[in-house]
Parts: sequence; structure tokens; C-alpha cells
Amino acid sequence: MAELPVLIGLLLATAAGTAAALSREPVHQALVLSVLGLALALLFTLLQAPDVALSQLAVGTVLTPLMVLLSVRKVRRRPREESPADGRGEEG
Amino acid sequence: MNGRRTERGRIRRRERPAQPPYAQRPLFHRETRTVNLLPFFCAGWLFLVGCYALATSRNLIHAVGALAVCQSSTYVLLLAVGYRSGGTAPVFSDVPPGARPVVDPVVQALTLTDVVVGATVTALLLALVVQIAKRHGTVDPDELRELRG
Amino acid sequence: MNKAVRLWVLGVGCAGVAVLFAGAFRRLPEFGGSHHPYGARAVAAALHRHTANVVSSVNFDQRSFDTLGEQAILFGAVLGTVVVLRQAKDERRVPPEPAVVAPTVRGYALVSLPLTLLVGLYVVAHGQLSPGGGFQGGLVVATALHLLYVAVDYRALERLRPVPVFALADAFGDAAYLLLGLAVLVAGASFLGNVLPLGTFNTLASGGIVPLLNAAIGIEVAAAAVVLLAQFLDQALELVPRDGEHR
Repeated sequence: MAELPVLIGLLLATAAGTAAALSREPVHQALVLSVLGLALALLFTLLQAPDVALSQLAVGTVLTPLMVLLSVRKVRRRPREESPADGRGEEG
Repeated sequence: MNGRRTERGRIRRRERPAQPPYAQRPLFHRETRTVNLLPFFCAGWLFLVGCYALATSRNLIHAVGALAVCQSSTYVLLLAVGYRSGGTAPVFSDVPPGARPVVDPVVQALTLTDVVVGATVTALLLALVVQIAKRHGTVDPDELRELRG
Repeated sequence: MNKAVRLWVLGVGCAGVAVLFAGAFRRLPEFGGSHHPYGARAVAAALHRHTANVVSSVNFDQRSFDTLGEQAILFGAVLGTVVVLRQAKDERRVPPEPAVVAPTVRGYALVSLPLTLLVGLYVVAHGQLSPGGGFQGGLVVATALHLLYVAVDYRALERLRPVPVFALADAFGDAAYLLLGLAVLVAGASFLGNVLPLGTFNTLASGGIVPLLNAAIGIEVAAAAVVLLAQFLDQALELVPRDGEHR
């Protein structure tokens, strides 16, 4: 069964994707999205696509979750305006 | 249609004499087939579960995340189409050309640009969500619909 | 449209997509099969043009016009984000406070910053040889710069990363790609054609136009990622409403 690692990678990515889609809380979802990015990067490496794995690693694990977290922080700040800017996110 | 099918069948048979052409094979017939269908099934599942989350989302930021899951299904599908058993990466800096079979580089190139461009489109969507939150004070699509009246 | 109706429409739509998808992949070539006509031709073309990384050859030589479209989408999305997230009239900037960072975190981040930067530049420069290229390397370079935020604080990052310069670099990368294509056209070949000397296979100077387009994309992607993150960081950390009320 030569394809076994690929199949395991597929199942991992599918499980992570399902978890990311079904997690309702955006902060939680951002963390699961970065796990999905990691699982996809692993799967792409196993599928012999190192070029795609590299860009997925940078985009999926860092860029997208970070932007989601920063958006959540901006949107959450709405109700309590007087909270001082502390210069560093809890996610930072 | 019928003629094309026999045409395809002839080509397939010449390559792999043991197997019948795809067009005449039933879905989910043998165990080996199910394993070979798994990548396409996973891609379809990721797309559908992303769509479900997108449609039932109560938060626009969450909806953008669900869209990212939908995007990832296209990457899985494209790379699964291009995969080749026993193939290596289509890079010839270490492997002399022709020494080993390589996987399909065309789908990899498509996926690669898609990953990066998809991230910037996600950024644009998140920017719009931030702007909606500023102007309307909510990111719940149902509340936004009520605001519109 | 109430919730039950919406779920029903969703269910019908998903079932339809699932049926069509299943019907489509019945006829797809088997997973892991050895019949890849486009792949075989792309590999032959890349070897003919002395490009060791076939994926880069497809992106920047065989399908370079397609990549022009992709990078136009990228540029447009970044431009849109910058416009949407610009500082509005009813917002003011609150300079962020200096932050206290644990010495181990600072040490680790300050060591890994130049290393990551170097790796990113290496990945861009070797795009025609090894896995990597402008898209991936650009992202690594952009990520490396943000280690400064982890190591010191946001003010240090802001000082090192003047956003207008990176916005200009983004436009420069975009323009360079287009101008390279036009230069080839002026030289008498087709738009974005590979007319440069192809060089020796598997050396840094190989692939003709591939390293140049690759570098243009590297500049554009790195600058685009920096500008995008800068917009979101500004929104999350600095910009607050002027009077504490929205609208």
C-alpha cells in the first residue's frame, strides 16, 4: 500500500477542514484554520508538490489566521470604546 | 457520444490491458476503487462542509474562514488530479531528467498561484467586514439584514 | 427568507452539487494514474528551455500570460484593501505603548529574523532551480519582517517598515512584470515570450526570462503581504474612533 501516507494526509486535512468549518467562534476558527494550513502543507508535500506546500505553509498557517485574528480584535473593540490601546494583541 | 466512448476505451485498453475503461465501471464497486476515489471525495466534502458553514454563519468573519475551507477543497482536487503513483516532484535540480516519473506540474502551478491570490482576496473580504463593523456596529448577517429594512 | 427555508435551499443545492460532482469524478482519470498528457508536455518544454523547476517554468514561461492575470488580481485585491481600510475622517491614531517582551522570546525572534529573511531571498532567487520562487519566497520575506513585532514591539516594526515604500514596491513589481512583457514585444517576439539566452541547465542564470519575472513577482508578493498586514495591524492596534461613537 504505497499510497498510505497520502491517504492519511488526506484524512487529516479533511478532518481539520471540517473542524475549521464547524467551529463557530472566530478566534477558535482562526487557530483551527492554521492547523488546516499545516495539514494541507503536509498533504501537498506527500503529493510531491513542494512548491505548493511552501506557499500553503506561509499563507495557511500565518497570513490568513493572523488577518482573521486582527479583524476579530478590531471588530470586538467596538462595544467597549474606552479600553486603552495596549500596543500588543493577545494573539501577538 | 457512443463513438467517443469506444475511442476512449480503446486508448485506455492499450495502456492498461487488465482494467476496463472508466466509463463503464460502476461507482463504488471494488475496494481498490473506493481508495482511489477518496481524494476526490475529500475535496467534495471540504467544499460542501465549507458551503454549509458559509450559509449558516452568524458572523461575517467566520463566513470568510468558511470560504477559506471551500478554497482549500480546490487545491486538494487539483493536486489529486495531478498525482502519479511513485512519481517525484517536477524539479530536476537533484534528479536527472527521465530518471523517475514526475507528477503533473501544470496543476501545481495553477494551485500555487491560487493559494497566494486566494489569501489576498481573503484579505479584501476581511477588510470589507471590518468596514461593515465600523459603519453598522455588527457583523451578524441577520442583524445587518434587519438594518437594511 | 427564514431559517428553515434557507436550510432547505442549502440542502437541495448541496445535494445537487454532490450528485454532479460524483458524476464528474466517475470519469476522472484514476488517482495516481500515469496518464498526464499536459504534464508530460510541460516537462518537455521546461527541459527544452533549461528550467530545472518545471512549476516555475509553467508559471513564468509557458503560462506567463496567465500569471500576469493572477498578479493583477493580487494587486487589485491589495489596492482594494488599502482603500477600504484607510484612516477615515472620524478616526484618530493612538500610538501603541512600548511592550515588554520576555528575553528568551526576544532573543529567539532576533536570531530567526535575519535567518528567515535570508531563506526567503534564497527561495526567490532559486525559483528556477529548486522548489520555491517569487510567490513563496515573497511571503517568507514578508513574514520574516513581522518577527520584529514579536521581538520588540509594534513601534519598532513601524519604523522599519514604511508602508508607502512597500506600496510603491508592490506597484513596481506589478509594473516590472508588465514592462518585461512589453520589452519582449518591442524586441520583436511575442508578448512575454522567452527570448533571452537560456543559460546552462541547473545554474542560477538559466531559464531565460524566468528568473526576471520570478524576481518581479517576489517583490510584488513580499510588498503586498507587508502592506496587507500593515493595514490590519493599524486597524487593530492604532486606529480608534474619534468620538467613541460609530457612524
